[in-house]
Amino acid sequence: MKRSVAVIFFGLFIICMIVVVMHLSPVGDPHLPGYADFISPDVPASQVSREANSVALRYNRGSIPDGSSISVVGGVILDYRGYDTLYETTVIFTALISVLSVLSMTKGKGGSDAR
Amino acid sequence: MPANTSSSSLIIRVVSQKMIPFIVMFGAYIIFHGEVSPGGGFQGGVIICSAFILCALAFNLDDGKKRATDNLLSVANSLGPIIFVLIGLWGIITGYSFLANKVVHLSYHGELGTLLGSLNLLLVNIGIGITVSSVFTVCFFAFIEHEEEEE
Amino acid sequence: MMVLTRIDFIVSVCLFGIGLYAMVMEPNLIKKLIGLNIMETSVYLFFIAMGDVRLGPSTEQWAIAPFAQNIDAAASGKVAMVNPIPSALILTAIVVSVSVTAVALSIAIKLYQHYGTLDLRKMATLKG
Repeated sequence: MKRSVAVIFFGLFIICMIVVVMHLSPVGDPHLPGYADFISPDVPASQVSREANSVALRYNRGSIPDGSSISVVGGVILDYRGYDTLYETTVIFTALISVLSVLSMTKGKGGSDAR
Repeated sequence: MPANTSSSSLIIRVVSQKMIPFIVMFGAYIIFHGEVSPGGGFQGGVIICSAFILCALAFNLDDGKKRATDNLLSVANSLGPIIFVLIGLWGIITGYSFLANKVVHLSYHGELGTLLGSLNLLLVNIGIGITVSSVFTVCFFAFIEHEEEEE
Repeated sequence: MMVLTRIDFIVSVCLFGIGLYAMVMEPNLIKKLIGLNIMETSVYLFFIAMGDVRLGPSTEQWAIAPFAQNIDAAASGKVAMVNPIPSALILTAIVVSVSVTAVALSIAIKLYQHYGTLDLRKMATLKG
């Protein structure tokens, strides 16, 4: 009983979210802000960064002149956003420390070791 | 969890023994080609870590612990951030900002698009790969050993 | 047709609902974690789909991979390169989610040792 009510509830939830999603623009709409520049290749790479919403275009066209990497995604995560990746490694490191510290906690019997 | 008894069958042991070098080699390929193709330090590090986990599952755990001791793993854990920070400091030493890429002369050892074209990204990828593989190996060993202590 | 052009969004929304169902309804902690991972995967799929660029309905006009050797093809205006920013953000998010899963699994192991079960409903009735 409970489970069927939950299934119906989550089904309605999914249907509501599908209705919301159907009002989005379709996948790969080039008229989203920031993508309209893809159609006009006349903009030189040096002026791209002054336009609004054109970070992606700046990354795509500037990866060779900036000398970062020919794989744009690799260049973004390692070069343009190097601080992001640096602290990502520290996030992994912190996760390891917390895992080891949680697993090495002494087994207290319901707080009886607090005495 | 029969990790200490090596109760896995002959087929699993032989096949994993043959496959582990290739898995490590594939992970190293993903890491080293991280800046010229899809992939990078995280993905390759996880693949190498999966080789260690397969080694620990197919054979007994003590063999894996003998090959990857705690000291080695704890050095490897911290090697990635250290390499990353040193690459960043190299930008400061040469007179530019932290983690500067284009202006650092490490970048111009070859044509852009070859493996040495962006050498600092290659070094950063290697550091991240070492860190990720060792961190998840340590996590796995911690889980397994914890289970054994309880029994 | 309206469904087909948004099939990625719909699949990601369905995955989100499945993961939310697993997180809310399953009493087992490990299954809750699996539901959390399914929800994260749905968000990844949504982001990556938002990074796509299609200049036309035919397959030749869909976006190409963001590599520097494709710049000339993209500069001709007939195709576009995939937006690299969602891919980079999702690479960060995957690492964070793996770390969260590792920490949550360690806490689940500790809870199992303490209570002897992974069932949350039994845990609530037991006295710690």
